[in-house]
Amino acid sequence: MEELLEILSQVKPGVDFEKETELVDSGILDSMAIIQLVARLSDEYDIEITPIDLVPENFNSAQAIYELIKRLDD
Amino acid sequence: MTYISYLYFFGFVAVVYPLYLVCPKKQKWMVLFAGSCLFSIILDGFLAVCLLVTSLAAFFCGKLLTKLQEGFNTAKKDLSKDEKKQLKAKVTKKKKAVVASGTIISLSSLVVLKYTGFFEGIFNSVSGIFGGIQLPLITFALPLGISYYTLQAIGYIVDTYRGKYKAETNFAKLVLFISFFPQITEGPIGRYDKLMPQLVEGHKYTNENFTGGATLIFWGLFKKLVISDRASYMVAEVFDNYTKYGGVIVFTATILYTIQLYTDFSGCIDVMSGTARMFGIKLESNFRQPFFSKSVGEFWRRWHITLGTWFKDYVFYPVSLSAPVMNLSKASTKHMSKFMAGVVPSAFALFVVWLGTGLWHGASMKYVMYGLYYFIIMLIGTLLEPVFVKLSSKLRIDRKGKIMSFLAVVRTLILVNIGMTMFRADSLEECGAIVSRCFVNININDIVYGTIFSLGTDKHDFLAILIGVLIMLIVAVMKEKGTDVLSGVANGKIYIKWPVMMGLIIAVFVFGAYGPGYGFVENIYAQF
Amino acid sequence: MSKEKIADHEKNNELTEKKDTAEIKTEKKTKNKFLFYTARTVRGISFFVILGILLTVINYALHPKNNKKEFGMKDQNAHAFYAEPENTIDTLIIGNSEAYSSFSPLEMWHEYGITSYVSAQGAIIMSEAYYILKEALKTQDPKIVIFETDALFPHKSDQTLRDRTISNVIENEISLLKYHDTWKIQKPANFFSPIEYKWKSYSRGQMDDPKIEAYGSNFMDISEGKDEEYKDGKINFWILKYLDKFVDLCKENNISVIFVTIPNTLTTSRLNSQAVKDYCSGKSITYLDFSEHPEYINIDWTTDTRDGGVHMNTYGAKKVSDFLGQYITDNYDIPDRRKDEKLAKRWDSDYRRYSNRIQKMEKEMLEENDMP
Repeated sequence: MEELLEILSQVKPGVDFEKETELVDSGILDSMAIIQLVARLSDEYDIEITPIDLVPENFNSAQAIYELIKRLDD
Repeated sequence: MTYISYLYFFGFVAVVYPLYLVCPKKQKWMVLFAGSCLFSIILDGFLAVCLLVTSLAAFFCGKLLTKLQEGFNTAKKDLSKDEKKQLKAKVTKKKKAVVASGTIISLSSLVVLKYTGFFEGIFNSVSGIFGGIQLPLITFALPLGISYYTLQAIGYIVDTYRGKYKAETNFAKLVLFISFFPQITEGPIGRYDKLMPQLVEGHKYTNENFTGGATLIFWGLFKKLVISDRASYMVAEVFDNYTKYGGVIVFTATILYTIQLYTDFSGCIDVMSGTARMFGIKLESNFRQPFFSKSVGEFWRRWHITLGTWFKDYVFYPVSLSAPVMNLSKASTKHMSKFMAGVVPSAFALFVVWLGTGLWHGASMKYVMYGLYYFIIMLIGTLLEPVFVKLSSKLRIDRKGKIMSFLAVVRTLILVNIGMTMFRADSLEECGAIVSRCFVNININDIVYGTIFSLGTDKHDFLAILIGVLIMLIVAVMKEKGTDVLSGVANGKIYIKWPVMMGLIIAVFVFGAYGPGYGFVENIYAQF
Repeated sequence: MSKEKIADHEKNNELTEKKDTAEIKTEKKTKNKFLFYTARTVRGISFFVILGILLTVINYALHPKNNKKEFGMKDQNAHAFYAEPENTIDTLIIGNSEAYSSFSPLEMWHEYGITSYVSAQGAIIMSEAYYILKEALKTQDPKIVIFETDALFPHKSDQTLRDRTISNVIENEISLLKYHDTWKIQKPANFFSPIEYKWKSYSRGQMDDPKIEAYGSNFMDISEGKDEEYKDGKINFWILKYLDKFVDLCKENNISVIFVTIPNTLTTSRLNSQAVKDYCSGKSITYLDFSEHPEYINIDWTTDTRDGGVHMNTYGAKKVSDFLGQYITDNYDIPDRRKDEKLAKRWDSDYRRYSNRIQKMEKEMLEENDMP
């Protein structure tokens, strides 16, 4: 989780990722940022994120992203 | 048959709707199916044929994809991890072949009918340079709606490939999904998982659906007949003869065109969503007060939303996540600054998206440039973002403050207005000429002596447009603030609901530009 | 009774009680439901009643208060029959621009004492012709209806004709849809003044134009016009439908129907004439085809057309009207209205105006030609 928060703050500095629960819906993470994030995540965690996973529910909070990673790692 | 016609309301909806209501719940969807088939056939016999081909392709590809996936799911239980991986690769390969062929078949009619002339033109000019052969230009009459339902079918095929849902097992139901009559000619581009359950559910009559739907229909008619059509007369005159007129008139015409396009498109979508609503079906919303956007990117997330999300899900993400772009991303991380490393891969994907968006609107260089215009603006915006951040912190400007937000909205309006002018003009050069024409011969006498009112849109029309736009503005501001006036009216107390609804109906009947003396104005977005 | 039994008994009682209340509840519910639906229906109906009343009032307010263009009347020349005294028009002529160019009611009046009126509008479609006839029959009692057949072959696609016919029919049945945009021209003060159709066309609907723009040489053969389309003798479904209604309406009112084809250099077509001929013989309608028999009217294409052979001018119209006047006098029992003094005064003064106008324009044209 710590690691994830660090990646997040690198992609989009200046956001309190621990508290935000509407990252996508409120427009903090636009599709460009998501793509950057996905590129980093797939690199760091060696997972394959496919377009089907790219829905707002999976990226709205750090917790949701963390769960996505765990799910894809299995 | 166009939507905004007596035939559609009195001859079509007035027949299909009661049938839908009296039909038993389980069979209701068949009424929609029959209605949609009939609608396509009346619209254009050729369209019906194209629709059938696309539906067949989507149906069988979807079925095959789900079968492959399920076969894999049952087989993998008894396999070791390595074997699983091997099998998965094999299945994925097969699935890829299926999804590719399905997409190609669906796209083929669109590509052949819409783009043959365009590609021939490119071939001819290239071949002309080398003195090669020249092809005779072939153009086809494009059946209405082909650009919309093709995207819908492709979305369905790709989603079944991704395993988002299982394929439809009933062919008629899939045909209904692809050809559902309220959205066949202008969208909104629907998604199977959201639309299909509603189509087959079989809704009974409720007051909410009826009044809600009727309000939306009249609201859409108000936009289209009172505002859009009245604006169209002057727009046509000035855009066709812009060299004849001075800055004031040309500038007014470009604004009027933006108003015309928005009220035409969103008005028609409202009429269609209203119709669907009467049947208990909620279509995707296609607009969210686009003219309040603070950036061009935001504008496109609020304007023609279903096209934007379609391109995001089926072009932008797949391209961004494809192996070459991923590699590009990794390479740029090594060789560039962190900021640039983030920009380059998505810029590449965005380029593809905007090229596609441009071409989707029409097969000509003009539309390609139209798409790239927005791409370039957004790219510049992204690249300059760090500069802006630095600058504003140095100047101590609150970029999120009211003044800056307002200026951002105005800036976006100007950029969008230029984009719209490009959209309406015959070519890029003409657009340039029109934009520069806005700044020449500025003569207030054009208004004082009424020249501006003699170009097809007279004083009364201007007044109707002005009041109409004001009403729309109030409704839009309320919606921005979280109050949906329309549904508030439809579900409100009788002393609010009745006067407003009656006022709306009367306004459409009295102030609408229809009847003898008014030419019929074709829906702009139905032509794509 | 053992304790348990008592308990059982009480339980049973409780159950029946429960059942009772439940029944009452459902009864109440159905009653409420009934009330609910009745209230809803009443509400729904009253909405439409109020809306209907409002629209009726607005309809009156926006309706043209006079039959002139300035008051919002559409195609005023086709609708000036309103101003004619009741039941004084014995011959009604209906058609498109060929009709208002080729017939001269005032000539027929002057020579034969026939009272006629040309209710024609450019590019008319058949449903429009039908509604003009229906409207005219409200105040007039014509014995003969003359129909110019060029209107059977409008230069429009089948789809356009379908849509235009549907719009036209609905707009004629609900007049608000036709006249709604008079809010642009009517003064609010006039919204509730009485509707009085007083404007009269002195030429009785004819567009009399003595201008000459010759076509080719004298007595050209124009048995086939120049147009390439719409000459295959096919009458569109919607045109045919309203043609039938038009003819039936005439028959119901004991009106004799005469179809006339005026030759012109564009749309004259043997196939179309044949189609009209077939139609007329099926319905026993008199058909005068001047494109097949130009000798009846002796049109001189160097002097009788105002636009190079597409439409007749006043001289051409005079020739057609002379023939028709004679034909009607010979074949139909139409009174010579010149004996009616009051009516004669009205018509004669208009005839003078008509002939003076022609003389004046001729003089002007001569002067123009004299200029170096």
